[in-house]
Amino acid sequence: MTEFSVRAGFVGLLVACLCAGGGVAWAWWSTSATAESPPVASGRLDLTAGPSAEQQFLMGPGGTWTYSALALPSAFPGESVARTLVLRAGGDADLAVSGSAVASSSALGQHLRLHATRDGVAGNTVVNGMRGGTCSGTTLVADRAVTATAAPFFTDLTVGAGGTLTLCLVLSLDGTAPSGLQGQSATVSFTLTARQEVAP
Amino acid sequence: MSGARRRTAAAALTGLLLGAVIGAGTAPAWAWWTDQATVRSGAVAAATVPAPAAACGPVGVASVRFNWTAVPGATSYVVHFGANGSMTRTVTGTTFTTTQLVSSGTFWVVAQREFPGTTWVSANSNRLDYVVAVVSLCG
Repeated sequence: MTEFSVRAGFVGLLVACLCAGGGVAWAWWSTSATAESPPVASGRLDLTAGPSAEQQFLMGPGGTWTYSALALPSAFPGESVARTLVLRAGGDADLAVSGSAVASSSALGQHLRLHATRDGVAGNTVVNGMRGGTCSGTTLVADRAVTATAAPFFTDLTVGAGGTLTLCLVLSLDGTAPSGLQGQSATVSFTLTARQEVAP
Repeated sequence: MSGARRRTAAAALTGLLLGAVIGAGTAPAWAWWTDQATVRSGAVAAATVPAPAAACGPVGVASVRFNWTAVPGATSYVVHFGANGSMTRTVTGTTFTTTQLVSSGTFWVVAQREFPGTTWVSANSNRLDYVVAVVSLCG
């Protein structure tokens, strides 16, 4: 018997079975498998802020902290105040931190100026009744107007996990501020955004 | 590419993908997180140069003298006098005498404080009406 004949025989048998009317049992085949994902872990990222490394008042995600010492009440043209602001990478990831500043008042804001340094020390003096603040350190932004539109004053400064970044801020009333500004007030908001820089 | 080869390539890619997912072992999946904090300053406010308080001084023959309170930090004062205060003088003291005979007018004064880059001016003081004559009047 040839191979062809054998094959034909099987086909014939199959056809015969189908035609026999004896019913064909159909099975729906299925299979399943379970794939387990690898563990999903979130790093802990927390940017904290305060006047010093030991005093961190702004902790946890988001939030607003009023730095009451960073104030310049009853300011005359040319007066300024300097304060340090310490940021800490409270989580377990290195952070890239950026900052922007915005004034709550457009009229006064355009005559408020911001000078910011990194790793600086704040100094404040009073000479002839005029307050003056200075910051040492590496300049991040040099005496720029704080307007009512948020503008970055530093970007992507790296803070290692658990480490700190000391900013020194000088807020001043422009020496050419016009007389019409008398009595106006504002606050300046610093928005600090931390982004996880690398996976640990 | 033939159909068979295409199927083979698809199977290989699927295997790679499954291998990457399953074979990664225990390495955690990382998301990129951010945290945003806002630090708000205390009040930043522009000061005000106080307005002087004006008063009539001694009334003399054909003269009227005005006094006003000194304003801290003021470097000069601008006095307004004459009809409706139309005339001005800038002085550094806190008195002013008008001797413009047979005249009447209104007096007030403003303080000026000069800074290196600007000059701030106070609001007007209170107003005083006066008459300069043989018998002068002020009040």
